[in-house]
Parts: sequence; structure tokens; C-alpha cells
Amino acid sequence: MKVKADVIVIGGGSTGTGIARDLALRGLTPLLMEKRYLAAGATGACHGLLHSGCRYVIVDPHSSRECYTENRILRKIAASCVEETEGMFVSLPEDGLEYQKNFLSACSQLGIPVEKISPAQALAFEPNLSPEVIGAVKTPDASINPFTLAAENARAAGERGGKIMTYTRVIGLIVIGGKVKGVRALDTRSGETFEAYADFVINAAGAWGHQVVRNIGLSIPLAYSKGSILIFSRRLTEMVLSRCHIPADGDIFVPSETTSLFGTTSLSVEDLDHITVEPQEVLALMKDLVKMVPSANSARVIRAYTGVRPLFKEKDTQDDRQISRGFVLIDHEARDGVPGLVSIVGGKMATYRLMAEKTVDAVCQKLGLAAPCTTHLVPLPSSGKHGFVTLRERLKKIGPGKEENAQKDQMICECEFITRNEVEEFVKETGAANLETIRAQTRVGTGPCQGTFCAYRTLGILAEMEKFDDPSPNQDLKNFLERRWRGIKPIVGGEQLREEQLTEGIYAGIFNLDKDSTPTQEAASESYNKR
Amino acid sequence: MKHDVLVIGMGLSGLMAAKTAADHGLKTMVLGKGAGMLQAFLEGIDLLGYYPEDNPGMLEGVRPALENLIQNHPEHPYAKVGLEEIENGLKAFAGLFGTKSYQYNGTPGRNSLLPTGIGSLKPSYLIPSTMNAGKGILSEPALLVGFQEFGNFYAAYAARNFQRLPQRNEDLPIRGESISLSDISERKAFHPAALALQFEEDGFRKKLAEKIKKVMKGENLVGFPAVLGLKNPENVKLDLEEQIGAKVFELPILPPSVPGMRLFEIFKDHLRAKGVRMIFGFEAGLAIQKNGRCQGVILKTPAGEKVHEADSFILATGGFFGGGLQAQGDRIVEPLFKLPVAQPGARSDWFQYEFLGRRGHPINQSGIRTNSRLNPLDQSGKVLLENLFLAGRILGHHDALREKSLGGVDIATGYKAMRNLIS
Repeated sequence: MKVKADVIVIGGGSTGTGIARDLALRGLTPLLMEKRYLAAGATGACHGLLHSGCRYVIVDPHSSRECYTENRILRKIAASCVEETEGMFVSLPEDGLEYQKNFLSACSQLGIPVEKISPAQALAFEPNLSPEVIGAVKTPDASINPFTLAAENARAAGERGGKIMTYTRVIGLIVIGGKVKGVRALDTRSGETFEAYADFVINAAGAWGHQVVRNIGLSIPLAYSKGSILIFSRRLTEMVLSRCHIPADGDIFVPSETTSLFGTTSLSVEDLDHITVEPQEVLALMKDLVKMVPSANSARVIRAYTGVRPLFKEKDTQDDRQISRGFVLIDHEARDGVPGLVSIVGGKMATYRLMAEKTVDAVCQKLGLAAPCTTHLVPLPSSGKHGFVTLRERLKKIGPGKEENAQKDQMICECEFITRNEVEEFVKETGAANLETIRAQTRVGTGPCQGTFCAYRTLGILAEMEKFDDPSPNQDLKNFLERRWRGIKPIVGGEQLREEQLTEGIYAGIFNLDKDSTPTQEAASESYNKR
Repeated sequence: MKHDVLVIGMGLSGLMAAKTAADHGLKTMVLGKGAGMLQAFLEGIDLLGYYPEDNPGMLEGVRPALENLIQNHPEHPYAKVGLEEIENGLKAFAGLFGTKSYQYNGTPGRNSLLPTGIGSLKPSYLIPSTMNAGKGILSEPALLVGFQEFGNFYAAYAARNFQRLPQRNEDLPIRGESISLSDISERKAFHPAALALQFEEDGFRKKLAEKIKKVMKGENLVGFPAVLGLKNPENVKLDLEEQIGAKVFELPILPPSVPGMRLFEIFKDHLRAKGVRMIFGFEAGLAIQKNGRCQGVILKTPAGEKVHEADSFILATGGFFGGGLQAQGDRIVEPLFKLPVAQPGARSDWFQYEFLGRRGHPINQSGIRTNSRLNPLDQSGKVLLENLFLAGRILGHHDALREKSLGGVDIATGYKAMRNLIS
């Protein structure tokens, strides 16, 4: 099999999908390859925070300005992905009020609209906030769903002729006459390899960026830092809460759909593909959180997850065009004498659109095209039709009596209120035929029971629709449970331990899935827990 | 009113202990917050499916493995009970069913293969008579039937996985059909128990059988989710068999378990007939202990707290699922008697890297250490309460989910704890 496109984009995170959309809007045909599902890497493991820029006003005003500009753009073009919760920077006694003073003047210098409010007002907005709060500032932070953001960008590219290939791993670059001409790729489901050719290749594989280029002797020096986040079973606040101090670990609390997210940590890691949250990270995070939101102590943590921030090693940057302190675009023609390839590294999700714009600007210049960027003007496909859909609005839509057909009404996921109809529609629309993708985009399996019931039911629906990526559906089920376990293991205890026992009771006790002989994807290479 | 024996816990081990006491003529009372794993996971009675637990080879003959286990693992509940009493316990359990048409069957000393609702096979020792015909899926063309209004079983999914079983010829037809109940029932969605009750209605079965006959393609084996009636499942099965002209069997599905509910009802009827008092739905608060004996248990009800006294006590409150054991921070506690719990070291040692990997999670081994009479011991090995006997999952030192001994351990220890108490 041979595939052709104008530009190949490697990586299905916010950056890669943003680039694919930008290319498509400029009239080029992108082909995007993602080794797992969209937003499976750092994008999906982020905090879901649409920065206002306030976090960086003191330490990095340049990034701060970029964030605020992008914040305003994304509220418009990505309205369906952004819940406009707004934010609050709170000062606790140990923070003092000196930072707040500098913070306010820096915000005003940068033109970020903020409003100082009294501790009493802050507590009126957020009753779960610590009563010890001594100061508060309202900020334009917001909550953003990274999974739908990536999917919407991919969809926009698809609508304009772009092709999105998930579960497709790039295994090497094809160099002809010293120029990058395409990639060799592996369909990880079927095991087949194929070649794809294009006029240009963009490496947007984030933390995996070095792995993409190393087969042709290039190197992208990256340091990896993992950031871990806790998920609570419900919303403890309505606004994004941040500590008003020099940015540190454990100081951001984000309401996200039906849950709350708290993070992060920052620990350097070596092995990209086997990172887990350590129980001591969970303890450290909880200790920080209860200072800001004391009632979190009795709230239920349903999982913990971790993502890797790729940090470009600074000593090499003099050779590269450093277009922002937040992200780096590596021109491999100028740097390594290999034309046809650029790599985009670093950055934040909040500035993904800007990163895509700068990347595609550079690529267009190389290709001799004079097409201007329009990604800041054109809304994402769903965002052109509706804003952020809250649970309340969804319940009105799916509530009793709205569907004629009982089967379509059937609740597949009781934790997150997902109906059979929603799963079916999603599968029909996207062609997704595995649990991982369906979870990321529909929230099936993301609630307190972590997929115990809905994983089986979703596979049941796929079976009835005769759609499966995996030749053995029980294998997909087992893989799904193993991946969920990654995030459950660090936090399981107390009530959540009963939940674990329920899941184990069902799949080991009733169904004997533990003795299923086929190995899981995550399996045994691990030498963990050697006893 | 003082009882001879007070059983705390209404899961399978508590019910088995209560039955043993009542059959012996003791004045018995049972307190239970819920039925624990019985109504969640119990389908067949598993005795021992794998030994050692991480050996993937399914045991056909059970006895030699049980003998090995008893010899090599003196802390395992089976070792405390002994082979002979395990068998006596199973006999006593079988006696529960009397002349009922619904029975738990098995081949003495051998495991049966139980096909499940995800299209897998599980070794089980005694299986409900309504599941008997299921083993036919390895050799006969089969149809699996699910219902559009019922989300705990997907026939197409199970069929797809059965098709890929190495024990089964790939060309042997097996398929799933999802049948709509909308024109024969007013309900839009079913809880397993509600569907089971519906199956007991003659009119419903008749109309359903008509619909099934229309989708059958000559199969003479038809599998249903395990919801074929609550009170008279064997009658429901026989009637369906007659109407559709094929053998019928039930498949274990997502909880709650209708076979577990049936079993609970059968125990309840038996115990009530013997004059056993059962208080269901309330949590025992604290045990009153004095001079190495338990004197009573405080039960919390909306009417207030009440002390229930007895000469002897059975503690059968289960493990983490039932609430007999709780994890608090990095310690595992037994909340009612505050008995010392043998637990795997630090919190980081509680779980394996893989969720359903070869080895079970060490936390599932945690439990109360006992002597051979099933009295709880302190750290130094001294009996803590001589009139308290333990049964079921709270004993720990085994992994019922991985070695597939769920039900077997409960019956054996519930029976044996009471025999020890009586002697």
C-alpha cells in the first residue's frame, strides 16, 4: 500500500491536529498519523486548563501574553470545547499578599483583565475554598476538554480532504536524495506496514519527537518531566482555582465536566512509555490541595494520571530558531542539512493554535505558498453550531421520554449518563471501533466505577454493530481494564477499594478474564513488583 | 432474648453457618447489612479452579490439588477445615435444596466448565441446574439470546468470543441475537431481578418463545442471561425448552446475580422454617468483649441501638467488598471487633502492576489469623475470643477470585466454624 498527501503530520495531540487543520484551511491536504488515539499523549494527560496567562505574568510575561491572546481566540473558535468557568487566584496565609500586589500590576501591564475581590466574596463564589483565604483575584481562566479539542481539529482537517490515521505508528522517515519524502508506518491493529509520501513532513510527536527522527541519524535533545494529576468524582468548585504565588507543584484545581482535576507534580523521567503515578505523589498532592480546598479530604479520588512534558534542552537552542520561550520549531534543513522536515517541540495546549500557525507558516514558506493563516477566524466544526454542552443540557436532551426507542435510551454508563444512542452515533460518525477512542471522546468509563459496567456494554454494542478493531473483543476489554488500572492503582484505598473489588470480582470472579491466555498490550515486559 | 448463637453477616458463609446451627437445633439469630458477594458474584460454587493460583492450567480433578494445597498452605482456610469437612460442608449445602427441581450439580471430585456472559469458560464445581446444558456450546451449534432492553448481557459479544475459544471448533456455528421486548412488556429497561420476575409469567414466556423461534436457524441449544426466574427457575427453563424445542441454559452475567438472589431466598426460607431470626439491612456497630469472650453485638437501626446477646458468635462479615475488612490509609482494619489483621507489608505492596495479571493482588490475602478451630488469634498466637468463630472471606490467606474458590471457601468455613462451635 502506498499513500500520498501534500504534508504528513506525525502526532495526534493538540499540536498535530491543530497543524492538520491549519494546513487544510490553507488548501493543503494533510495526512496525520497517530500511534494510538487522538490526544492519547501529553494533550489528554494535561490539566484541561485554558490558561489566562496569569500564571506566568511574573515569571514569563512573553508566554503570558501569548496565552491570553490564545485564550480569547479559543473561546470563540473552540466554544464547544471550552467551559467558561473563569478563574480565581487565591492567597493563603503562607503565600502572603506581596505576590498578589506584583501580580495585579503585571496583569494590568499586560492588559489581562482581572478583578481583586475580598476573601468574603471569594468564599461566596466558592464555598469549598479554605476559610483561611486572605486575598483573591478573579481571572479569565477556563476549563477545556483536550480530547474534544483534538478531535474537532482533526474533524476540521477531515472535512477539507485531510486524512487522519489513528493506531498508525511512524516507524521511519523515507529520505530520497537527501530530502525527506515520506514515512514508513505500521498499522498497529493489523500489523501491516506501508509507505506514505508527501512534499513535506512535520514532526509533532511531542515527547516522542526524538524517536521519529533518530532513524535518519538526527537528534532532538529532550528532557522529560512528568506531571501527575488527581481526578475527583465530582466538581468541588465551579471556577478554576490557582494559588497566588510563584508557580509551583500542586496549586491548580480545575473543574472538568463532572469531575475536578488537581495537579500537578514535576518529576524528571527516563522511560517514556512506562510512566506511572507513585502513591507518594498522590499524598503530596493531597497535602497541597487540602490547604486550598479543605473538603477535598473527604472527597473521592477516582484515579490519577500522568503526562510527560518534553522540555527542549537549552544548550542546543542557539542553533535553532527560537520563536517563543514556550515552544521551539526546529528547521532540519537549516540545522541538519535535511530538507523536507520540521519538528515542533514544547509549548502548552493553550497555545497549540499559535504553534500550528507558526509551523505551517514556515512550511508554506518552504513550499513557496503564500496562503495566510485563518485558524483564528474559522470556528471548529461543532463550535460553529453550539457552545459548551454542560451535563445539565445533556440531561435535558437525553432525559426520560425524549427517545421513542427504549433501546436507544438505555443507559450504558450510569456514572456519566451516556446512553446507547450516544455511543452508536459516535461509532457511526467516526468509525471508532475500540474502547480507548470511545472513552476519550464520550466519557464512557471515566466516572467513579472506571468502566466496570460500561466497558462490557460498549463492547456489546460494537459487537451488535459488527465493528471491532481488535480481532478478539475480550482482548480489547482486558487492555482497557489494564489501562484504567494504571490510574486507579496509585489512589485505590477506602471506598475506591470496594470499587476495585467489584471490578475484580466481575472480571476475575465471574468471567475468569484473568486466566485469558492472550497477553495484553501492557503486559509482562514489566518487571514491576518483583517480590 | 439471648440466643445460642449469633451470626454476623448474611453472605454465603454466614448463611451456611446459620443453616448448620439451625439444623443442629440451636437458637440462632443472623444479622446482615447485605448479602455481600453472594448477590454480586456468585453463580456456581467454585471449589478450586487453579492451583497454584498463578498456574494458568485449569484443574479437572480437584482432590489431588486440594490435598496439595492443604499440605502446603496451613493458613489457607481449606487447611483449617480439612478435606473431609470440606466435603461434608458441600453435602450439607446440597441438602439445602431437598426435593426442589432447582439444584446445584457437579461431578464428584471434578470441575465443570461454565460458559460465561463474555464468552469465556470458567472452572466451577457445583453449578445451578439451569446452567447445566451450557457445556454443550463446545460441541453443538448454539444460539445466544440477549434483550434490547437489558444492558447486562450482549449475546453478539459473547458469541464472538466463544467463536475464538481454543477449546472449540471454529467452524461450529454460534451466534447472538438481541431480541426486543418492547411489544411484549411495558418496561423500557430491566434490572436483572425485574427481568427474572417477568420470566415467571406464562404469557411473557409464550410470546417470547414465539419471537425466539422466528430467529432460530435449527440450533438445538439456546443460551440466555442468568435471569430465567427467581422462584422457579427450573420450571421456567423446562417450559422454554418445550416451547422453542431446544435445550436451554443460563450464562453468568454482570451483577447483580440472579442465581445469588435465588440462593439467598432458598437459605432464607430454610432458616425461617427452622425459626431462625434474621435482621437484614442494618449494620452491626460494635462488639462487647469481656474476659476473652464476646457478650453481645450492638446493632444500629433507625429505632436506636440495641444489644443482641448470645453464647457464641460467628463473624462472617466478608472482605473488602462486604465491609468485614477496611483499608484506612496504609493499615487494614477489622471494624467490628478490632481484630488484628494480617496484611501485606506497605501500601506499595498491596497491588500488582497488572490488574488481571497472572498473580493476584497481595491485598486479597489479608485477613484474620485463626487457630484450627477458626477462633481469632492475636499477634503472639493466643486466642483472643474463645466464643467467636470466623468464616468466609474475612479469613484471608487465600485469593478466591484467582484460584476460583468463591463459594467453596464460604461453604466450607461457614459449615466448619459452626461445627467447631457446637463441639
